[in-house]
Amino acid sequence: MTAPIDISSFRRPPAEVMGLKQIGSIYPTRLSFMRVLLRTAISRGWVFEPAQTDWDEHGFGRAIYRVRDGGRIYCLVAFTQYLDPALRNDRVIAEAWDAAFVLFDGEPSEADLERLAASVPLQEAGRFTASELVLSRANKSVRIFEHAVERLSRGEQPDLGFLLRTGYLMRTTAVYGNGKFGVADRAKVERRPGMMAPFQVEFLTVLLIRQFTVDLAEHVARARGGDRAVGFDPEARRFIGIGNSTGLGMAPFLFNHPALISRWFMARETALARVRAAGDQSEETLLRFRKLLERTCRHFDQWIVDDVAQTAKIAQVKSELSQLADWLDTEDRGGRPLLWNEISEHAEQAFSLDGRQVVFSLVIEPQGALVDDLAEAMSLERAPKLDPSMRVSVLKDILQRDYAWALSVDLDDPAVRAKFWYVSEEKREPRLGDRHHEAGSEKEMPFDIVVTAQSLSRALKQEDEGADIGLLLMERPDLIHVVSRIQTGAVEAYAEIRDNLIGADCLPLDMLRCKLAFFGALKYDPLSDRWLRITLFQGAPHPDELTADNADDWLFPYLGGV
Amino acid sequence: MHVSVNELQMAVAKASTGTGMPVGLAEENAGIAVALAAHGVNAVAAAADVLRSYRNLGREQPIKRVSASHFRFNAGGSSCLPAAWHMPLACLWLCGKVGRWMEIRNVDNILWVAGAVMRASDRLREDLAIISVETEKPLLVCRQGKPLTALETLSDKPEHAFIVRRLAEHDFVAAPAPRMLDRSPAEDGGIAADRDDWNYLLELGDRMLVESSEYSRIHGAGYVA
Repeated sequence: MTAPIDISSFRRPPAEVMGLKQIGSIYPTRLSFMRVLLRTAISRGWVFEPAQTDWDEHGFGRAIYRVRDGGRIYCLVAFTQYLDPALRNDRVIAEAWDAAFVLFDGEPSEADLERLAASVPLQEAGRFTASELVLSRANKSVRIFEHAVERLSRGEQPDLGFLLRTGYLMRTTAVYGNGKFGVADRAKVERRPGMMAPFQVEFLTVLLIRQFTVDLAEHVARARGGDRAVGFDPEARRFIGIGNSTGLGMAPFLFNHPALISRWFMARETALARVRAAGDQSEETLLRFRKLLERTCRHFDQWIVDDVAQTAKIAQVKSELSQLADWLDTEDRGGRPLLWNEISEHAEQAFSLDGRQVVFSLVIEPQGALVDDLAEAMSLERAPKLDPSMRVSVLKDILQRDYAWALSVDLDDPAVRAKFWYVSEEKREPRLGDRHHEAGSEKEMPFDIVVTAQSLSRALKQEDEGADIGLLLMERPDLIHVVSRIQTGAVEAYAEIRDNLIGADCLPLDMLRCKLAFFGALKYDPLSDRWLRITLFQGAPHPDELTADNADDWLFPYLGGV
Repeated sequence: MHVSVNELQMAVAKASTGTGMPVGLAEENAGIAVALAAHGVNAVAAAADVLRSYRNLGREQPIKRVSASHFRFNAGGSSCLPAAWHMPLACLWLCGKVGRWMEIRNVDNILWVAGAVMRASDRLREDLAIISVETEKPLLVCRQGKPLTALETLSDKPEHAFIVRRLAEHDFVAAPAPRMLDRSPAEDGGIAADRDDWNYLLELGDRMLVESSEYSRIHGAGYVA
């Protein structure tokens, strides 16, 4: 048994990690949930069975994808239908999709399949049972799907440039789990071996949907082209990910689950600290790092978006990665005891926020033996409970220590409270309003931590230092929420985004990107400051080609090198 | 119909805020609903009942601080005490310091008191009891968050007034094993709910929705077609 590593001086403090810009700059790592899923698939020997399809020549109908995990079966049931192009909409307000999916826990009976055929295509308007684990839907990326089908039907491969620009055939517009619309609560699966890490059933669903999109395109191509038709070349097939359109609906999750988010960041920061303190510096690992760096440069070369700000970030990171390669070449790295720390420090000192986060992902990547166990610590069975017995003096100290950033904000500045988060009547979609121009701020979601923290601070000043918080909360129930958050942050260090989420300069995209990075998403393609498209599982082996050798080596993939 | 535990939690929290409660208090009520559901109580019906009652009664029932460690809820009040507002707060106070106890009279839903006491017992990791003022016998004992007797029977108790406090030596009851459902609702197909009660919770939650405007459609979601 190896001695525990002292990483305390290497772990970055929350004040350095949890700013909005900081969390909005992170990139996937080997602890991202999609990566964890494929490692689990290998370690538990999951068996992915060939799809059982019942499609017509247009690909409309039903397909079932089975995964066996020991004695347990998970089935993705997919329903495809004709969709009027006028109805194809990525927003949550859509009511019809090209394909609708459900991940069923076990083997569905004929009666189950009939029930699912009636309810799954309805999505939010349907009603589900605890036998269903995840509900999802996807739309075709019409141009690329049709292009791929047409080419394959003629015995040709899709144009790689075209494929490169989009990167997927279909994109999901929602993936619902944990009890939504009656599907099973996470509690049903959270103790199952292989499903303990966050979002594993959701990403099993997405992995199977990705396989489905490729199968569907090849099926339609065969129906159209007959004997002339071919399947995707392995390289193109591997490069095809699954797209996702993500809007503000994802942002509240980060705020509403502070303890869970803290676990995610704690695992990530601990991984980085372990590597900085004691990462393997063998020749083999160094070589792997250099190859990864090279691969990442290619990945960034192939990352093309319309958004001007994102394009500038991509260019900046490309330049920084090139600088890092030069720096590694020119400096004598031999015999230095803390090479990974040196590289990280160099990135922290010389690179943009995005650049340094890419480097962090890269230094962690070759160190699986040192960090992969942390994935198990990223879930949370029970959030910390509010402690009414805490003394006023103790809460005051915590508030001063952890919320100085909020207490120092000038609430009289109109820009500080310029925005408010709310849920719109229109299909219950979270939105960000302009407090000074829109009605409804009295119904805002409690993202105004800068306001409530200051309110608490004022209230605490009126209380006896030795009094308990329970007494205060009985008089001031409006403070329960902020007290609970502050106490949570005292035990879960990375619980709070340390920025004003209602300020004029709050960029929701940062929150979305943060969560997506933990998922393992790549190729962020912002369509506005609160809406983006991303690619999932790009470069990952498909279930039918998954092996121990390829399951865990697809960070920052590029077309031509996967 | 059946709802998931997560749906119950979200619905009660939203419905509570829809009645005008602060978010933290609404979340406490959601926790009470989940605790009740985990022990076989029709939590959707109970939540609908207490929130309906709270909307009718308001929160202004008399509360008397008899001493530093003793509160009397609904002291001399003629109307019902709304559990949804007072019980989460009372139990936070109860957990604040050892030795505290409270009297509760004419509460609208004793199951909600039980749920709040279960949560308090869980917070404290101690035994708490609901004791009849009239008979001085425990109506319910909670051990580290779990009721030792069937919660459903509480609804049949005629007691008008009772005390909530930490379990004393002389309160000891020959307790059966903590009563839990064989499987949690999450593992067992969800929570049975009456559709009307459920819809009532959803309607209350909908009061927090903000009407869409053209401005919000364009700017609020930030969607670019």
